[in-house]
Amino acid sequence: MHSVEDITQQLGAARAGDATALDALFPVVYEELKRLARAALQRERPGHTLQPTALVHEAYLRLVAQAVPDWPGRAYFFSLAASMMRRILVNHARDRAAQKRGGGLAPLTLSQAEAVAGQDIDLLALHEALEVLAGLDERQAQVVELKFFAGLEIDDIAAVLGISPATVRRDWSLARLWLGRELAA
Amino acid sequence: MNAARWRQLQVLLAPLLDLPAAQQDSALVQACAGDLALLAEARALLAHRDAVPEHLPAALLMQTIADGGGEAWIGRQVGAFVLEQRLGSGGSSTVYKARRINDFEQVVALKLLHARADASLVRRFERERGILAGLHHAHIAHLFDAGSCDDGTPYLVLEYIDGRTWDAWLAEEQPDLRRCVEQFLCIGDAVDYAHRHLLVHRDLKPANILVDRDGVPRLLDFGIATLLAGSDSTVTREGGRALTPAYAAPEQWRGEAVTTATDVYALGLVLYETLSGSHPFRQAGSAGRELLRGLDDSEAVRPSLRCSDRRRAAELKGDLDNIVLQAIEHEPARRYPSVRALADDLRAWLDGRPVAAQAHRWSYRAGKFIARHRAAAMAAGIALLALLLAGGVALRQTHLALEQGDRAQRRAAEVRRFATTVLFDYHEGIQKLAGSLPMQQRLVRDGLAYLQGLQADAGEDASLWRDIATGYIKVGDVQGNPYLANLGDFAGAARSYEAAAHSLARTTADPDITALHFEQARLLARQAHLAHQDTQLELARSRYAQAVALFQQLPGEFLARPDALVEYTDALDFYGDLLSREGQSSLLDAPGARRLHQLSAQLRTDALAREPDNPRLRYALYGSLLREGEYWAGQNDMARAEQGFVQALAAIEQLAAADRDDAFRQREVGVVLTRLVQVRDALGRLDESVDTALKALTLMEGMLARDPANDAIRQGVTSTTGWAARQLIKAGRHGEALPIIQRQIAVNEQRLRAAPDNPDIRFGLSLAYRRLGEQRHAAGDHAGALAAHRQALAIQQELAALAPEYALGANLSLLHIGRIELASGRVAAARENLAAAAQEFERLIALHADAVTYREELADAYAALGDAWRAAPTEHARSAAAYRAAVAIWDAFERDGSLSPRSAEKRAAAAARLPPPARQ
Repeated sequence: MHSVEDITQQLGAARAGDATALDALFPVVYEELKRLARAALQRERPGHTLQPTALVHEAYLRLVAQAVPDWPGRAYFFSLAASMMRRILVNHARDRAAQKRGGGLAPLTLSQAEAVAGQDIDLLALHEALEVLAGLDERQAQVVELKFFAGLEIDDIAAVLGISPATVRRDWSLARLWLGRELAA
Repeated sequence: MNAARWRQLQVLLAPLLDLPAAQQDSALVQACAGDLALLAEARALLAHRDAVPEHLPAALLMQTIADGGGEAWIGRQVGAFVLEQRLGSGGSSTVYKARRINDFEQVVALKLLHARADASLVRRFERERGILAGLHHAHIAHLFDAGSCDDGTPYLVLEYIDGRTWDAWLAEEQPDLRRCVEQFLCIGDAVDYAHRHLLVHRDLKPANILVDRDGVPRLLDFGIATLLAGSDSTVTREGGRALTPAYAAPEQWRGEAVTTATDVYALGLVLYETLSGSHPFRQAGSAGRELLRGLDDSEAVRPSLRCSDRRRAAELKGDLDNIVLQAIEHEPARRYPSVRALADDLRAWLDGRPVAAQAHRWSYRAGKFIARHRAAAMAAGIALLALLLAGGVALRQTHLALEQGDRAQRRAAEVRRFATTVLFDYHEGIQKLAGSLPMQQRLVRDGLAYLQGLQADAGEDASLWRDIATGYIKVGDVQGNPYLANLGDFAGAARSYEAAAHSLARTTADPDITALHFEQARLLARQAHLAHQDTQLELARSRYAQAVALFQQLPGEFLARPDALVEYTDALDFYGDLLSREGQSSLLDAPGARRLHQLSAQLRTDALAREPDNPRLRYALYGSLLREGEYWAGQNDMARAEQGFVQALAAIEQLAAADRDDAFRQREVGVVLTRLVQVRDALGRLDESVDTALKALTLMEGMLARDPANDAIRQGVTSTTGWAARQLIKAGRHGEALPIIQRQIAVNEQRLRAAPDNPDIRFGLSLAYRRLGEQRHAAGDHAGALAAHRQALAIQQELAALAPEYALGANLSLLHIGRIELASGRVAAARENLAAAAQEFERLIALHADAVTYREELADAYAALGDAWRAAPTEHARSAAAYRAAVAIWDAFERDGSLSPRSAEKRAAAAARLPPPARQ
């Protein structure tokens, strides 16, 4: 399954509820995101920050938009890509945690030279908290996934989920409170 | 918590989200109405509102991706070290703690770059590591070595410092203001030390400053940003800039040269944050793009206003505010001239002495405002500018009248600075923009008034006179420097240059003799441009020669500065252009012109090797590439000519793409395309040449639509219309050519209304009529063709006395007219015109030996004359004589190897019409 037509077809089927189509699609988008990310990293200059939203949009352009510019499943693709970004990041955090236990590796802190501005966050804990939140309010969990892991803007999220930007903003703020408390606990 | 409880909490919390923290809790208590369990739960939620960041930290994503083999490095040997522990990762590299294997005990920080190790990076590493390793300073983390692993991954071996970053140190120690400044001065001294070793850091930021366990600040990564940025070709460097957004100076964003002033800026930002506790342009939660916008538009707020601690704010107010703001000026020239000067001011503050940094003046701020809001200034700024200038003059005069001695002196200096701001910085900004002409006209008028006012009071102040001269040169450039975006007012430009010359004559006592000679040389070159433009060729020649001689007297290190080098090499180029101008035997010196052009190209190439990203140098080198193409075209080596023009096109397209606002460079793209049209035509690739011509025309028309009053672009349109029409006619598409020719005539007439006596423009109009004549002829409309050629001839005959090329042009029209008369069967008229054309060509070619390119036309005239006599049975002898004259010319071409295939065809046709020898 390599051609763009195949991919859009599978996306359509997945959207219609065909779970096997989603399974078939997953590795393609997943690999594409990883490939784009590595390529982006090669291109980036020191100090430049890589944005998840750029990766997701580029993956969309490459896999879908070339063949079907006005594809109606755009929103669906983004939610799929967001969940993949999440999976990529969480898998990596898991690997690191495993290595840390096995290999006595120091915790990931940025002390020398390359400290990157921004808050540190325990991705595994966030992932688990998000699973719990999904049980309480699935839409809020989706908003977090799109906002945090795929880096989408409020308006884009509103379009993906078919709700108003104000609702997205409210969901995000409330979910942030909930997750914050979970992480602090 | 279950879903129902969460819904309940949401209903409670949602209305409170936008309230300030202080009101939130009281509102919460009220809303909970005594339900203490609910209140506790809501409070717990609000307590951690910032625990989840707004955005995924970029570092996490970077690490995830970078980790392809990150862990695999642990335990591996790199150079003489074995990697022990990963310390951290960023976009460009991963840093490990590493230990030396043999010899002696040494722990280092080993930095593996994520960069691809190409040969040039490795070479640069070899070259640079010696320099970097030579930096020894108490506050610089030492670089021990640099190299590349077996698989080519480049690495750096750095001193391992056990400490925390500057930010962490500030947050944890909460040092008082004096301590902050003292520690900051350590870093300043380190940067100053490196600058004196000719190294720029270019990536100064809190993360690159570590404070070790003894409280000593140490600077990391000196020279490394330079090492990395250099690895890219110019193209990618402009695409993805090597910088840290929050600490990059405006010139870095603009992709301009990075200098020690860039480090002054970054240090200023670090100082700003250190003193006030916040970054001047970073709002809470703002991403990179907003930060960039902040850098573009807003002037930094005084640090004291950003400081939440009231006592500290009071301490910052005044001197420290001024010091910080001077360090982070947008324009490098306005910052402290060196890190040393910044450090001196901070020491003065520590000692309670007066500092050099001053608060901004109102006039300066206003000028800056206009400079930043260039587009808006088109509309609103004109009035403000006028106000500024008028106000400035009045203010100055009042004060000069009242004040004496030192104060007047100071006042004059200030006024001068103001004038410089308005006339230079700000004009630089607007002149490139499409549609800025009205603004520029206003600038010229007000600028002249201003300079005249200044002259009246200049007295014997030599350096002020020099500044006035510089001002006049600038105004003259805007009015009518033919080689820059100009208003087409050449007479006005001549007057301004004259005024500049008078001002320079007052500066005999100028102690800065180099600056004076430089201004004189620049001025002479410009006066030469005008003389050339006005076909006073001998005058142009002598002025260029003087200018070049003056430039060559300047000290070598002065001439190596890009601005001086560009002025000098421009003079060489334009002098060379004059010497290669055809139709002027007294001046023509093709080898001399070639030498000037090659010298200029060489100087530019060398300078670019030193400063590969300097846009002015790149533009200058484009000029050399263009002339290389011209040279080979002149040598009739069209393949090499095409090569030169294609290179020039690539260079100028790159420059134009980098600055879409720059109308002048966009126009240059059209110029090169036009030259390619001619070359491809000569190479016999007619279809390509038509396409190229139409592309050029589309480009120029688009530009004129954006900037309809710009004469330089109008001229570009007339030239491209001419070529597009010519190629279309040649390709048999004369129908398509007609509207283009009508456009060519209209634009020329428009240009002529602005400059009624300009011979070049009048000649340009005559060429448009000639094109119309050719088009009418191709369409079979002989009467229309004749009328058009006669219109062209009438103009050309008026100009003929001014320069041989105009006379030759007139003669060419005679030839066209004669041919059409012949084609319409008016043999007598044809004979008369053709005989006159041949005779006149003979005369001109004899007079101007360099007009040899017109021998082809002479042959054409003879051949046509042969045709005209051949129609009469009794005149075969005359006919044969004419044909023989034509054939003899083509034979001569054949002997010197310049007979084109087309001429060979014409020769065969003429020879075939000669009567057989027996009947002669």
